[in-house]
Amino acid sequence: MALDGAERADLARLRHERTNRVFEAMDRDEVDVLVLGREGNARYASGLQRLPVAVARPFIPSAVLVREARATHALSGWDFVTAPEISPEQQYPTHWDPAAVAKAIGRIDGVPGARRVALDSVSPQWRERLSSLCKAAGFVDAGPLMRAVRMVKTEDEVFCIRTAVAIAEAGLVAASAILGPGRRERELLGAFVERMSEFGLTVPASEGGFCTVETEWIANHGLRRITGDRTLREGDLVTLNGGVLFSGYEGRVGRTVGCGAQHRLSDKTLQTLTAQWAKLWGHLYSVLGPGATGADLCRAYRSSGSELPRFPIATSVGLGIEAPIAGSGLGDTFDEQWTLSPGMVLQVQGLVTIADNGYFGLETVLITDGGPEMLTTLRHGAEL
Amino acid sequence: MSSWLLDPARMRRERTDKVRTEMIRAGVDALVLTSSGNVQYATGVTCVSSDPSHAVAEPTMVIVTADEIRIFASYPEGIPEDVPADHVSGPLLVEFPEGARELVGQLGDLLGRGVVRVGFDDLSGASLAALSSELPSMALVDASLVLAPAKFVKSADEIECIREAQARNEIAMYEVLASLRPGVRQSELTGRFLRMVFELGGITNSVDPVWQVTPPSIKQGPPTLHGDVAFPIPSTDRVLRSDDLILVDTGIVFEGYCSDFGRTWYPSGAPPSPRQRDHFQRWCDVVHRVLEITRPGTSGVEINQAARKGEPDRKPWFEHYYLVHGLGTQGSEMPFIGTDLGEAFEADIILEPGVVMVLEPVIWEDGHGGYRAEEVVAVTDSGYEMLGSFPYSPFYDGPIQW
Repeated sequence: MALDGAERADLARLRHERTNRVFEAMDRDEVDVLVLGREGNARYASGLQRLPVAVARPFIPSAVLVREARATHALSGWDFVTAPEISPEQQYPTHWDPAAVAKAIGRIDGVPGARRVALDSVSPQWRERLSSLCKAAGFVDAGPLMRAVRMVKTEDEVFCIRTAVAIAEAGLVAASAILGPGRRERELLGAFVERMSEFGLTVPASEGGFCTVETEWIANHGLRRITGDRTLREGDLVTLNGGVLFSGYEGRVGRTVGCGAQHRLSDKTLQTLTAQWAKLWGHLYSVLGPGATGADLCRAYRSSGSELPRFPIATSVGLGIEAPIAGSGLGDTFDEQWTLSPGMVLQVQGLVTIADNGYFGLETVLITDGGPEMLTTLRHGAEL
Repeated sequence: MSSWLLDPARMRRERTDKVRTEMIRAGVDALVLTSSGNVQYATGVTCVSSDPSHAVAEPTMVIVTADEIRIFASYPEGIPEDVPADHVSGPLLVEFPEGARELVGQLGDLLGRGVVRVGFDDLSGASLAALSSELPSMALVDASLVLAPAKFVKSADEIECIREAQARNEIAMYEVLASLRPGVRQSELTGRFLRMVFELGGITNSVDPVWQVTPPSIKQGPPTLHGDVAFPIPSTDRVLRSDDLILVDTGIVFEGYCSDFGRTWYPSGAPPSPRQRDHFQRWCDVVHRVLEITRPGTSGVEINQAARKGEPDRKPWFEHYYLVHGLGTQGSEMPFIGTDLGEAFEADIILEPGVVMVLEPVIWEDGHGGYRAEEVVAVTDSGYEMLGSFPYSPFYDGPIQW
């Protein structure tokens, strides 16, 4: 599939490396059987691709990995595309009756005798079923294992994210090109997705935030997130925040632009805000290197003179969102646990405000031995 | 044309009441919901449409008890205006032990630490660990015990939402159909569809649009374990050709309610062949036979049998799928007819006024392709009402008067 970048990224190697990493982590954590229901996790470990939907689906074990046999088993459903290396014997069929699916999983070598089973998610009914399939097992949370594995990217993964970012940037440029008084927010979103599709992609990472900066809203709630029916007026500031998926990997970029020709060229508010953004970004950029923690990023953010916004300022990204690593609201101790290392890819975002106006920016950044490498390239200021 | 005046506040109020009635019936003390359709149904809170990883990373979660609703949201826009501000807090990040402990704290505070029964629609690994160790007396059950029976029958407001969702989905599909020609890419059709959906406003896309190029025989398609036609397959930048058979499936959401659009299209623009006409006619016959008995009191078994009558060689639907599914705040919900759940399951399904069904028969003649389309039908006091009206080109230019 050309969409998957087959001629540019080696997707077979990518899947092979991902699965190996998961087995290595299972060795390290002594996990006998890993049961994955979260779509990003299941895709990472098994290459399984489900028809993209804009909601979380009900839990079903989508991939089952057995450590001793080094065997990856994947659910074969009607809306699944299975990776070519997963043989029919390694697949178990979907049934509407979950008991039949459970029975098939119970026949997988290594499942009945497992001592330690890691789950990333479950439903109450499936918890009962898995308990009776693995009678001797203790169940643990697979979240930490999968996050540790996924956060550091292989070269092929970085390629996919880089491509997605480039297409997201093209989408943002297309949206800003039609920006003007009388346009509706929704039209910007429409222009973004249509541009994405011209590159052969079909799935935006989220609906995208193409929103006027509402002065009342900023003080009480922060930034608006859901694109609405508002009509843009001369002088409005408009956030453009769009992401796309390439082979499942997310690329995102965010900027704020002014509406109306005059406003773009000479507006003092936008100039002041972009200068403030540049200052904030300077502080963040200086700490975005190996060894820094999420808490260091928060400190750098505050030291620029801005208050932390109501959203995480740094998020690990790969096959979609992996974890908020700075400013999630779970506190400094939570943020301290995440240490940047080469190969991590982060979405770093912020909001600077003056009086009742604001500027939002989002950069996608690769952490390298030598510091941060910017994957986003659009400039900030009057024109993208 | 519907003259029903939608009242979203009334709709939400009635749904929440219904959920609480079902909670009592099922002996469930609280619901903890995070799937967008369930959150919407029980509380009216709207989640941003996004990739599942975003739904997990920026969760909206609600806890519903007999007398309280607590909302934990990553962003405030989706919360109905009539929800008091003190019922709303920031998100519970339950993928992490720290967030799971906050959930445990909330549940302990609301329900105490004694024996209680709580319905969940999803448990993160961290939540399961925290609940098992901190609240060992809590019995965890599937939220669907409460929600499935509540959702089975729709109010007039809910049906109006589905009608509107279907109408807006169809508007976007007119735009796509106009672009259908040999040489167009699947991704271009997706771009056109999504742009229309976003520009129409008030709706979001819910599923990656399917424009599946389907070879005339199963063995030419991708291998499957079920052995039937592989469907649905995600779209790519594949170029459509003149002789392709395209299975189309799209869905959007209006006020939390899903639409479901299905047709079979041919990019060639040529008049259909006699065999294509035969497939289409047999597909219409299946729908006719089902509609003839669609009224309160009809059972799932009867619907199943009516569809199969006259199609002795092969069940007239994808067997790994279904003949009928329901439609509401989820794109696929009860009633399910024609699944592998069996006759006893279908005997328990009895149609009532307000049940919404998506009929999706398939005629397949292996080696020669087939025909698949979907019709959305609401059961009324005396029969049924069609909720969509999209034409069946190239067979008919207008909608079929069923």
